[in-house]
Amino acid sequence: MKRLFYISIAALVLGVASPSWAAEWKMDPLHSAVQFEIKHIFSTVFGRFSDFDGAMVFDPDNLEKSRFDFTVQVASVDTDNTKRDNHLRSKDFFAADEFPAMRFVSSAVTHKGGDTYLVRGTMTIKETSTEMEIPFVFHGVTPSPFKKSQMVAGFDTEFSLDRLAFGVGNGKFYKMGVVGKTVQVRISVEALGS
Amino acid sequence: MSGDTPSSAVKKTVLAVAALVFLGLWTATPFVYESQSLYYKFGVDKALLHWGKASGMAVAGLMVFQVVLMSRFAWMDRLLGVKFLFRVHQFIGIAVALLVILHPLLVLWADGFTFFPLEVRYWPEFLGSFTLAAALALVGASLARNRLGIPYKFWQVSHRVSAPLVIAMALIHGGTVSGTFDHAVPLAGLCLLGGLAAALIVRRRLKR
Repeated sequence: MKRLFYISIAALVLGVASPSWAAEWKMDPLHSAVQFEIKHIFSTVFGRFSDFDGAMVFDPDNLEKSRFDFTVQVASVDTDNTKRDNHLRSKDFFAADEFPAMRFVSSAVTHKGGDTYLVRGTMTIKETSTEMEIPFVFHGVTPSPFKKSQMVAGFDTEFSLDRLAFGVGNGKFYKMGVVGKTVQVRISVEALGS
Repeated sequence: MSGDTPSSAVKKTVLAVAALVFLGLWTATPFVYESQSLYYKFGVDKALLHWGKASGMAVAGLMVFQVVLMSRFAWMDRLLGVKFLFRVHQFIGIAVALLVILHPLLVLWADGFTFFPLEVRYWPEFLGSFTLAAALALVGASLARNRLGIPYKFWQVSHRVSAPLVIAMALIHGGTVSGTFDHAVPLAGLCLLGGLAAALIVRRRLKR
């Protein structure tokens, strides 16, 4: 009887401890953002991309199976200046007609400590693909306050990249001291799972 | 100019020179009052954008000049003759049609034909596209009125109604799309041109 009692308790504890959500997540674009900032002479120009999508498989208890596949449509760039945005879409920078999307596909996810993780993967911008390691914070999972059956996960990341390494610009504006080469990227994601 | 008195020949010359000087100065405005978008262009792209802007300025200037020509000032009718004024009006109409095609061609070429997206914030560019179509329709209908079977009275009324609208759209497009008009002098010039065109059109309406 005692053994049955302890087994029941153990089963109950294990049941509570293991996640009751599946590891597959679909980005909620309405509550996610892809932002960037870059130096212009002295000031900082802020911008965002409004068209992006991502699919994530993430389980902190099963990082080997975790993966991220994130795509941003270059033509959706918005720096609050229509002339600048069109210039960014042109061959001088993104050549959006020829290279419509930027993509990051992960190959491995590791745990750094606490809520911080590191995703390694291939970043492809224009015709350049480069291995990158991007730290991110996993905020956890909660049932949506609006719909209890809908699980919501949160991720945040900040990283920088060298736009010239990806051929976004030929270096002329950088040498003139007009546009910096280091782009600070900030991505905040709310993802929906079942 | 045979049959002209010396004074009328001088007056015609002065008028022609004044018109050319005004149009020349107005067209050259983007070279003097550069927009910031020109800072980011070099070589051929910069030249394309410069001349694209200049052709746009020429379109606006010539459109207002058309209103001056058709204002039927008695002294102008006497000096130049109504037939001549109408011939010049037609000639400038064709010039406007050619320049109104050249303008976006050069501007877009400077950006490697990167077309602006279908977003509301690009409304000045969309207004320009609409103005282009309207201007070409205005000139096309005038040139091919007989071939198109458009009755004269209908064409006359629609031409008189649509021309001021096309001019207004062109001036608003220019004023909102180009950084040249961030400078006070070109902006004042644009407002003066718009005011002049409006005043002459109203004057003509009231005289009929």
